[in-house]
Amino acid sequence: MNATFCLFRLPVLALKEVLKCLTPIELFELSQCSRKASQIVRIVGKLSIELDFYRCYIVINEKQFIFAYGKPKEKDVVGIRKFQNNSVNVAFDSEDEMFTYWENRITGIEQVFCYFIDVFNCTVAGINSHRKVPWEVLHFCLQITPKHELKEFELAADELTNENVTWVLENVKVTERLWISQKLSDDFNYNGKPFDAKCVTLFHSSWIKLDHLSQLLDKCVMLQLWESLWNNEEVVEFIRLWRAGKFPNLQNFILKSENLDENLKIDGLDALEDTVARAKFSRKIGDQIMMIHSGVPIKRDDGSIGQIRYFKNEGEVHLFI
Amino acid sequence: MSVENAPVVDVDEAAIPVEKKMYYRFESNDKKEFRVSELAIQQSETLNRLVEAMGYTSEDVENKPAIAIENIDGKTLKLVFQWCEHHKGEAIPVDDGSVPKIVEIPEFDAKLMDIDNGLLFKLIWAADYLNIVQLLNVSCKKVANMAQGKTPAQLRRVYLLPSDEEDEAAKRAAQEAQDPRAREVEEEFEERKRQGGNSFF
Repeated sequence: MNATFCLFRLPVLALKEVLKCLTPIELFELSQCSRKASQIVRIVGKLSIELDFYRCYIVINEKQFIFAYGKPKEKDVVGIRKFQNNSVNVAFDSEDEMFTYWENRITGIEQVFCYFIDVFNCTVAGINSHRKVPWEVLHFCLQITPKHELKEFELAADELTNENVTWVLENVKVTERLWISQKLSDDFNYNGKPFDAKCVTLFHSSWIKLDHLSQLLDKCVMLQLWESLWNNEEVVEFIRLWRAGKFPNLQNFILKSENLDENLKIDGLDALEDTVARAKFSRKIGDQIMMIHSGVPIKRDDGSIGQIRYFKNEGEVHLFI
Repeated sequence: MSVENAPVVDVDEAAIPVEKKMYYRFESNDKKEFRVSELAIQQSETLNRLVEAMGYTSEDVENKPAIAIENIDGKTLKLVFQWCEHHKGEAIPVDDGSVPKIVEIPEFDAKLMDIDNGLLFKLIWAADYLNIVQLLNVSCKKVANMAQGKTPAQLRRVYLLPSDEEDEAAKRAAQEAQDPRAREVEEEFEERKRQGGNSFF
């Protein structure tokens, strides 16, 4: 029986069906066969890719991983693969995990990401960065992300400047979840394009004033502001606005500030913690299970009820609707 | 039902079913004739539309010539109709767009496709032409399975993929076949370069 099959002679629809039955790593291997093969595999349609600089991998369609590592053990290497102009050793841990070996892991995973965007025109589900990533590398990855659009993004990079952060906020559309984990300079401010993300976590939010909430963060379903500078009066005003119908999308709000003290009082509430029943409420918000316990009910003017809790010692306000 | 017992037969008067089911007659490009049930035809969007448009009655089927399928030979068409008869009445699957696509190859289909890759190629071609979604799914899955655990070098051999150099050579040959003057011009250009000329013109 003939063991060969003339794949590229198939009609386009049939060829596409064959390619759709291949795993992303098999598609990658096929793309390595020739320039023509790397052009043809694109017809398979959209693959979704996530880039994680922290663990130096990409994950394709939430299932298959390609890691960038340092020097390999020679016994593990099964061959060489090309990423743009770089030829690197590769190994497999399983059919779902491929290892690539580079001098520099961060630029290595950047090259792998670039290859998949270039060959497969992937949609980018997310990019997780961290402080050791040079801004130039992160910037390049964002630049080649189709339409500069991703579902999830963690912004952190080496020597991130105010201008870099502003560029990201102006040019990158994050639809689901945005983390800005890096400390920004004290004079950072931003009043440009509103955030698109439904869930926003700012680990250093000293630049966020009450006005920003309606101007920038009105679409937020979940908002976490850490290291804020809000004082008691600003929290009281925020609650007043929320009761009056502002921030209608908000379902979970957490704020931590050193400027909050034990005198924080909300109109109409005797206490900001339930020390008796200690009821717990939890719900999936975005892709996370969020919860509040020992909160007290708080009513909005439209009748909807949430839970609020103030952690005096930590200077944290939690609002859960 | 085994592949051998699937109710697709070359025309044989004795085999015409007694019950009042609608059957259609088709003829391959090598003049092999097949009688296929109306329900089995529904697996093929192309044939289903064709017979609907023709509006044949049972008498028409018997009196008029068999419907010619000019692109497919008898050996391939027999496999196609065996598959359609076996899977008649089954729902046409809808693609959810996932990659990799999850396709199970049933035992009957695996046996049916236990064939030479040349014939498998024709079967896929026919499934595509006749728009038989699930036959296309299983036959393409069989081809995809050939890639399991293969390196690029092995894939090149299995799928007969030309190298970059071979692709370039084929492209040049095609260009030359289209324009015989191209080679002469190229040679002249190379000769002038050897002689140190900066410009061709």
